Parts: sequence; structure tokens; C-alpha cells
Amino acid sequence: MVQQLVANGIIAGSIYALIALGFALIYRTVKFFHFAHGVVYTVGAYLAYTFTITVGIDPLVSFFLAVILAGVMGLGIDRLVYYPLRRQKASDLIFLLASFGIFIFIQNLIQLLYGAQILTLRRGPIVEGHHVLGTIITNTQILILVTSILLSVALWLYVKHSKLGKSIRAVSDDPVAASIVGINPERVIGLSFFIGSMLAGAAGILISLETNLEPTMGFTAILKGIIAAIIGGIGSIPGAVFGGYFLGMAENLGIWKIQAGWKDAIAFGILILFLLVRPGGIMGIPTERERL
Amino acid sequence: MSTILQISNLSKSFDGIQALNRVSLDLPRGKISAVIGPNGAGKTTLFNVLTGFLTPDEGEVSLGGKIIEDMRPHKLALLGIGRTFQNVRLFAQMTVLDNLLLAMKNPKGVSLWAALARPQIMQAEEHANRARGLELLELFRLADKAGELAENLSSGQSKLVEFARLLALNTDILLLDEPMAGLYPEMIETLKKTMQALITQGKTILFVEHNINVVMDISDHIVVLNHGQKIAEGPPQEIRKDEKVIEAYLGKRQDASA
Amino acid sequence: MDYVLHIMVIASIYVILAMSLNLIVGFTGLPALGHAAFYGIGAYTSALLALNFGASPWIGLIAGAITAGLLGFVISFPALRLKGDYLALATLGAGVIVYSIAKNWVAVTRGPMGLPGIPGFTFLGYPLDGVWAYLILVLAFVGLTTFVIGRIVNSPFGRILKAIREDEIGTQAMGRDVNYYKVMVFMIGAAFAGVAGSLYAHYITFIDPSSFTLMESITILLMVVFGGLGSLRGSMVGAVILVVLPELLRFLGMPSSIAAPLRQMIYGLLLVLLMIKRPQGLMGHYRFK
Repeated sequence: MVQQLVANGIIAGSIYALIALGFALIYRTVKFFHFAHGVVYTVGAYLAYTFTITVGIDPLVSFFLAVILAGVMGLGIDRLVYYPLRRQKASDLIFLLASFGIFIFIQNLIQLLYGAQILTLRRGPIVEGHHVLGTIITNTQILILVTSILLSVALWLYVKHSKLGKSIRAVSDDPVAASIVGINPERVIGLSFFIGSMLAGAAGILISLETNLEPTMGFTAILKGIIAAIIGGIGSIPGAVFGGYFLGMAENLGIWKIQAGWKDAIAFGILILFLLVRPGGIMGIPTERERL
Repeated sequence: MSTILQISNLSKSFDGIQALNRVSLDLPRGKISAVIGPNGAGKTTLFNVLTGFLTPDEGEVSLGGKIIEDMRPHKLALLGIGRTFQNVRLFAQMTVLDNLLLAMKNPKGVSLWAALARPQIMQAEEHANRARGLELLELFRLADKAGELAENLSSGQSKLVEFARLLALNTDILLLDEPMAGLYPEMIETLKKTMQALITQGKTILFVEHNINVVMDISDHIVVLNHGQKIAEGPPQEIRKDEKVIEAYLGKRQDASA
Repeated sequence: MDYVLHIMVIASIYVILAMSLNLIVGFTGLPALGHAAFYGIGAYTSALLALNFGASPWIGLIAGAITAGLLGFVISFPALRLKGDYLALATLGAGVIVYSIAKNWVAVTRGPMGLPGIPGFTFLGYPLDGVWAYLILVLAFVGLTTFVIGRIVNSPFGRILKAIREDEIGTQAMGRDVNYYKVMVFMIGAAFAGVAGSLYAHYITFIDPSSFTLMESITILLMVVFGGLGSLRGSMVGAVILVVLPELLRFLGMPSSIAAPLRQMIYGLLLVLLMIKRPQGLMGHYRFK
């Protein structure tokens, strides 16, 4: 029983980590909560559904297409909504509310187009999983785990070593200095939206291979992603991955003795605890700066 | 000479930088004292600790011989330690008079009960406070700005309104963070006279100031900070001659203005 | 005719919700995203007292206001330490936890099955069965809410709330205990939302957790922002427009499978456009800082 919960925690954590990763990458450059990240995840899944099931393209090709389009969509959200707000020097809360607006709009557009019912990307009968260390793990779950780890490591290496990755870090540390040395902050922000949104799209597709698609799926997902990012220390790449797995485990072990319906309450309980006790997250160092 | 505020061994560090390092000083009652020192000496940090906006790592503060246990900002303001800010902090989207009214005591009118059920008591108090507020504004010839939103004032006017607001708060000790910065010469003279007049009313002033002429002119007592440490203390004529001070502060200042 | 009156009752309930949230968000500047939690706890308290103990809805209304006020007390704690986005997130989280309790504590709330058969209000022994009678009752509470919150925001107490919205540090420097005011504002705002919940429960006679979701909190916030932060008249106009507007879709003869998401899409789009074009709302002067 416990082993199975741990395994479930790891799988859920893989998804949370991917969402948190994209969210954290975007947060690093723009410093506000991009809540609509959750609906990009939903769109990724629905695009994959449309390509494979409705149109009938080869799954791999269609997943690839869906991921790219999710990236483009994130970029579009930034250009259409956030860019004008940035030019007005709007406050973080205005960004957050606008982000809610985008989320609500697109989620309901999906519901209008596809209906509120549950859809599935799975084809053929459900195959029984492998028995590993007293747990049952399906091939899909292995795929989720491996993809999540590979993408996390790739992103980490990219941000750490590539030229563009370094410019992301430069912009997040000091946008003014970055623009003085010739880095165009808008380009870097666009890039982080593109990459971050591709990660969200990938997460959406992976989860719909494992469970189902429904228009509201992005809502819980982004909440968990944000919680994971905050637990890990907001804006930190390794922190987001760690936070994702931590949250996945905590939720699943938390329902060991109580009903599964309490998962969300547990996640938010952890969030509020972190916000109050250790707002810098596990990886972040809480500092008392001069406030005056 | 009696001490009103006794500061002993105050230390405060941020991310490994020692902003205040075991600073002790006695603030003489009914006098004007100044804190000077180069940028980053810890002057504003000292003010922030004394007004409760920062918690000291160690050390304590006594008021009238009693150690202050509860160092929350509003408690210190109520105990009689008021301040202005280096970057003027007015309530920008409120009127000038409302800014002053916020500082004034209104024990009867501020309660929820008064707001809901006793409007006449609330209004009587408001009326008296408004009159007092206009009087204070008149001191700086700003009474005609009473209904103006604070954000529409010039920077000099904002500075004076903040000072008037501190007078409205009516504390025994006034901590002024660079009160003269950005003021016209004639306004500086007015402010100097106002500070001296406050002393005759029994107030105690501690101020941070870069205008060294003003400091030498009106201070009874000067404290010099450098790198978070007190390096000298005494009346203006002694400070003027102090080797360490000349090296740490006056010397640097001459370089900067050259 | 009854349909129009019904819409007016619902709009009036939202006016109470929007004004009470405006006290917290608009006048004091605290971004609270869990208002539906107060609304819900008021509704559940009142409904459960009536169903399990046969209590009069009037008693339920008072009890609902008190339990919501107590929840406001608890939820105000994050507001003492957190600011901006983080406070928004913490209050949102508190809202999700309350929703989760309503959904999962089946023994008491019956979970997603909801509570049917909630009795209606009576007045001096006469049941209020007509929709118009309910409308008068709800409007009386709109009047009470306007009076109380209006008095508060126009008093010296209210001046301190606005000062907190402007500059917390400056307010503390004036010798004002910012924490006390934040707690009070949350309790008062929550209590009125609790009243709205009780009015709703006894009017509709059925409640389930789906009426008190995060989406509901965001809708109430949208009404406040749309009408104007820090403007009570704005909250009235905002709530009425946002309740009535989607009803027009129904007149166009749309099935609810289209009208429901379309309504939400309008809300979402409106929120985005407001933030870009007019963040101070229709009648407000103040923007989020």
C-alpha cells in the first residue's frame, strides 16, 4: 500500500515538476504569477487529442506539433496581454487578474468547442502494468517519469550553459544591466514564455495519456504547479523540480489514512504553511531586506 | 543633562553586512542631536531600529529609564518616538489634511462603534482635529493646500507636509531623516527655526543630515557613525576637530564635492 | 415577471457580496481571493441549523454571519504577513480548503449531493413565499450593508483603512496598529458575505459546494474591480451588470451548454480588457498597487 502511494506520488510529482518548471522559468523573467500557464497545459492536451484522434495523425508527430503550438500560444498570451501591461508598468496583481481572465476565457472556449465531457487519448485496452518493488507501474507512467526527468535536466543544462539560457538569468537578476550589455529583455521574456509553455503542453499531453482530458484539468494543475514552485523557492529551476516531487509525495502519502478527496486541501495546507513559515521555499534563503 | 532615550549595544546585520555594530548612545532630553556619517554608515538603519521597522540582532533601547519591551512600530509611535522618512512617505492618494488627521489622536472617533452609532462624538473630535491640522499647515504656509491630494505636491512641499504630519503626531522625540534635503535656502532657515522652537516646547530631536553647515549650526550634540560603528560623539566644536571624523567623513565629503 | 424578480434577488445578493469584498480589497487594498468561502460557510451554517435543529432562518442568518466572521478572523492571519500575489494565493488556498471541507465532510454537509429542502424565511409568522417578498427582504439587507459599510469607510476608521491601502509602513509610523485593522476588516467583510450566504440558501432552498468555488470568488472580485475599487456605488453597478448581462444570452435562446461557457468567456475577456484599458473600473479612482 505505502509503496504504491510512493509510486503514485512520484508519477504525480513528475507532472507537477514539469508544470512548476515552466512556471518558474517564466516567473524568473517576468516576476508575476502567470496563472494562465494552466490553460496552456489544457490546450496542449486538447491539441494532441485533435491531431491524433480527430485528424488521425501519427501520435508522435502530433504530440510534437501540439507541444510547439502550446509554446506559440504562451508567446501569444505574452504579446497580446502581458506586453501592453508591461508597458503600462502595471502592478503584479493586475498581471495576476489579467492572467485569471485569460485562463477563464480559454478554458471556457475549450468547453464550448469540445464539450464538458471527459475525453481520452488512450487507445486500445488498458494493459496491465509491471510489478516493481510491490507496486504496479504502467508503461505510460514510466514514460511520464522518464520524459519529466529528461526535460528537467535538459532545461537545467540549457539555462545553465547556453547563451540564451544565460541571458534569461541575466534578465531575471537585473533587467536594466542586461539591457545595457545588449540583451533585449523582450526577446528573453518571449523565449521563456515559449519554452515554459512547451513544458506545460508536454505535461498536459503526458497526463492525458495516463488519465483523461477535461476542460477544467488545467485549474488544479496550475495550482499544484504554483505550490510546487513556491515550495521549491520561487524562480529556482532545481527548486521547482524538487517542489513538484515533494508535493506529489506529500499529497499521496497524506491520503494514506484519509479519503482521496482531501488531496487539494492537503496541497493548500502545505502552501499556506510554507507561505507563513518559510516564504522563500526550501531552496530559497529567506532574507530580511531593508524595506524602507 | 538628563537622558530621554538610551541606546545600548545595538547591532543589526543584513546578509552578512554589519549595518550597525554595537552602537550605544544617550539622547539628551530637550536638545537637538545629529547623526552624521558617510553613505552606508548605518544612519537610516539606526532610525529604522529605533522606530521598530527593523528588529535589532542585539542590544536594547530605554525610554525615560525603562527598557522598551514591545518594539512594534505603532507602539513606539504611541510611546512618543515619531519620525520622518528619507524618501518622503505621504499617503499619496489622500488629501494633505487627511494625512495630518491620520497622525492625530482620535480616541473617541476612531472606534467602529463611533463610526456606526455615535457620529456626533466622532464629528466633534474631527472638527477639533481639522482646526489643529490647518493651524499646523499654516506654520509652513500650506493651509491653502489642505484639500489637495498629496501626490500633487512638489517635493519640497511634500517634505514640509511630512514634517507637519509629524508635529500632528505630537511625539516627545522627533527623528528626522534628512529634513533639509531638497529644500530651498529660505525654507531651510524656516525649518531650522521650527526645530529650535520645538526644543523650547520641550521636544527632543535627533536628525540625520548631509548638509554639514546646518548640522554644525543647530546641533547641541553630534554622533558620527562609520561602517555601522560610532566613531565619535560630542558637541559641534569637538567634532569639527576630531581626526577620525575628518578622515572618515569630512575628508570624503570634500573629495566628493570637489 | 417572477423571472425578472428572481434575477433582481440574485443581483442583490451579489451586491452584498461585492460591497463586503470591496471593504477588504478596494478600501483596505488587501487582495483577497477567497470570498466564496465566507459566502459558503454562511449558507451552510444557516441551512444546517434549519435542517438539523429546526432553527429559524433569522437565527441561522445571525449564526451564519458569526461563523463567517470567525472564518474571516482565521483567514486574516496570512494578511498580517503576506502581501500582493502571495496574499492572493494564500486566501485563494483558504477558499479551496473550505470548499474541500464542504465537498468531503459528507457526514455533515452531504458532500456533492448538497442540502435540499432548506426552509424559507418567515416574517412575523408569515412565510415569505412570493419572489417579490424575498426581494424586499434582500433589498433591506442591501440597505443595511450599504449603511454599515458606508459609515465605516467614511469615518476616521475608514481613513485608516485607506491609509493602509496607500502605505502600510507610513500607517504604522502614525501609531496605528495595522494588524488590528486588517483583522477587523476581514471579519466585517466576511460576516456580510455570511449574511449573503444565508439569504441565498433560504431563497434557493438547495445548496451544494459548486456554488462556492474559486470561480465564484473570482466572479465576485470581478464585480468589485469592474465597478471600481473603493467605490460602493461601483460595487452595486458592477454586481448588477455582471448578473444581468449573461441573462441576456438566455433571451437569445441559447441552450445552457453554450450559454454557461459563453458567460464565463465574457467574464474572462472582461477581466483582461479591464486590466489593460481601465484597471480602476467604472467608478473607482484607485488601482491595485
